[in-house]
Amino acid sequence: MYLRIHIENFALAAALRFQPGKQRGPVALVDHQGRVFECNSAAQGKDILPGMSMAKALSRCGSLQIINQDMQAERVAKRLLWNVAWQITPQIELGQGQDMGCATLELVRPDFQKLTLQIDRLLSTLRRYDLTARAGLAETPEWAVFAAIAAERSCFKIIPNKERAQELMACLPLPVLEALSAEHCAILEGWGIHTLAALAKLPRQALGERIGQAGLQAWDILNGQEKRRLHFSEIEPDYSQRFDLEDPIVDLEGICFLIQRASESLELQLEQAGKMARSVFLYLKLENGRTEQKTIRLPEATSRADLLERLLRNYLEQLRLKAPVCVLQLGVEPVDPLSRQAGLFERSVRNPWRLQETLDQLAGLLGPDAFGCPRPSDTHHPDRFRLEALSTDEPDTHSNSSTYPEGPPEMGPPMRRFYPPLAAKVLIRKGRPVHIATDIVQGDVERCNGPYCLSGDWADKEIWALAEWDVEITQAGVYCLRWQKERWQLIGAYD
Amino acid sequence: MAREDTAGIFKALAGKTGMCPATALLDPVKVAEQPIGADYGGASLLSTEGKSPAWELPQRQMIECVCTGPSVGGQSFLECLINASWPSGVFTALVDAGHGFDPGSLKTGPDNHFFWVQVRSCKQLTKALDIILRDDNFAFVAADLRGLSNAQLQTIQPFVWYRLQRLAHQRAGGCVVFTRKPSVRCADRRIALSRARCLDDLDQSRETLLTDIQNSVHYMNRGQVTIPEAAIAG
Repeated sequence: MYLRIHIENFALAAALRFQPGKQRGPVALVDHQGRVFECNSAAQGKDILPGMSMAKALSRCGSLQIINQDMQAERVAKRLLWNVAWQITPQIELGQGQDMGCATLELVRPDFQKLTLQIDRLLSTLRRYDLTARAGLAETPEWAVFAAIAAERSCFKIIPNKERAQELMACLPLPVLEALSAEHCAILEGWGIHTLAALAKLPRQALGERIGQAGLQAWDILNGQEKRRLHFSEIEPDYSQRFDLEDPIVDLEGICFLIQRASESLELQLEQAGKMARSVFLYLKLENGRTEQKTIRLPEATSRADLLERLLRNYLEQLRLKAPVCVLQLGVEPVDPLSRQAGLFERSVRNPWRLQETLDQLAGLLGPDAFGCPRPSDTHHPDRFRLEALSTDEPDTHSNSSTYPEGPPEMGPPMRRFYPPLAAKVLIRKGRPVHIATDIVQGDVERCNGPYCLSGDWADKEIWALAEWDVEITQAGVYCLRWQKERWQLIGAYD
Repeated sequence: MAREDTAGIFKALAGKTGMCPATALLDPVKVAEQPIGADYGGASLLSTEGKSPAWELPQRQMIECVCTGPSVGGQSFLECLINASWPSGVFTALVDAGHGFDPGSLKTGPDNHFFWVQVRSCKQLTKALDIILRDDNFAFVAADLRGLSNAQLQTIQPFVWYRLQRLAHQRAGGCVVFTRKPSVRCADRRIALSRARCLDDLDQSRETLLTDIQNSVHYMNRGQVTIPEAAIAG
């Protein structure tokens, strides 16, 4: 059995996928010679036909939207068609030239019940990507073409046997058969033969004598005597998509629209190859010549387009571009999904995507250095620490608490720091503070411990040395008082 | 007449709870039924059985911890909450308006589950809280407002707190807001810490210090904004 998939107005549909504002009303696609190549049904309703000059088309419909043929978009749509079809069988012949946008699949002993579901899914997937297709299933590739032509939009038609094929051919005109030229069709119509079924009923030898080889071939095709051998094609997986934009994009929504389209194609590509994305790469070239590049490591390997899109949108919302975007490239790093599978108890983060989104939003709000996991620095200086990024990945098994020595129990209350440290006026008597006055607390020092002298970084330029006192102020609590660089400061309160 | 009565009831309820009438209608005063039941290590500070009812903090609520002075035990309480094991979520977060968190002295454990967010204004604080409270990866969220002035705190509209409270209800550990004086009108519970530290506390273990706090804390219901005299007296 053979399955024929035919995308209606392929070049136009492929170009319109990247033209968000032009999907309604009459639209015509013009080729490099300025002639109408394809047009939608709304334009056809205004008597606009392929081959017409642009001026003529515009004179018939003033509101006609003209878009140029986009070879890049066609390649993307072709790849999309191939990836979708590959989910049924890898034996795919992609149409070339006039048949661009068509695919013929060879199916060996298909399970009709399963196949029906698969074809329905295929057509709905293509419709989701704004590619309206028809499909036909028959015993020969040519009958499958007839079935696809006769099918409704986004539906498929099955021709199970020769009788049903004859019934269908009774409704199809001669030009449907590609083996016949326009000249042959005119001759046959002169004989009163107007349908393919009528042609199929003619004697083979007589037809050959009058029309020649084309007549014999046409007869064989119509009667199922000839099965064309398919030329299966193979498209190498490509995990990136690039858009060279004629009209530079000036707004976020426009960029996100292209990213959405690219993500959808990449999702299909990943599914086809049985891979998942581990990181995503975005490249933007601006009109002023500057470029922006960003590689985002995904919190969890995925092939879902919506997750990629959300992650990139978060990044783009924080990005301030100073010129319109004229080139956009989106790529993913594919990985084998099995190699990323976590064990039952390994995963710690409940929703790594949500966490990544939270971190991105916080970075946009506060800056990337304002949050993280505090860790002590490799120094004795009491003020120094470092902030580590919160890991959204699988937990590091080496950072298990059991690998850390317990150490002595913590004594005393933790300190709450004053930021910045409060300048203090301190009265010293017999080498000990007896009275403290700051903006928030003042009073007599009831008791104190200290001084605790610390110093370090002796080999560096910035040598530091300080002395700290723990002071209890009457009915106000316990504080840390520091003498450093010839001045007193209240560092924090033992809280 | 009946409508006026109803409005009067709403107003009375709102006055009692410190919330706007509509909010009070949606979320009337409830008595805490379920304790946290989390394991707080050896201190068992907030455990329920046989302990003071003051520490029976309910789950999934917004709690305001009023620290009447700079050295009354707020950080000890915060440390206890950060290191608690919550029934769901992975991370605990502190949104710190005063940059008062001291990584050197406050124990957060060796794992990477504590998340510190430093904010500089009320606007940043409420937005950051909003973002974090919406993420179910966080079991417990704390906000330290002690670094903000009264004028800054007054710029936060009550409805913002109400929205945050609704979000806090979705977190296992809820949200605890540390303030210097009662500021979160719609807080489900309010506790006051007022006993000033003394120098001898520096030689006590943290478990002992937590027990001391437990014995000195004052517990207030929703809408009760006046701190008892006994609490201030310590």
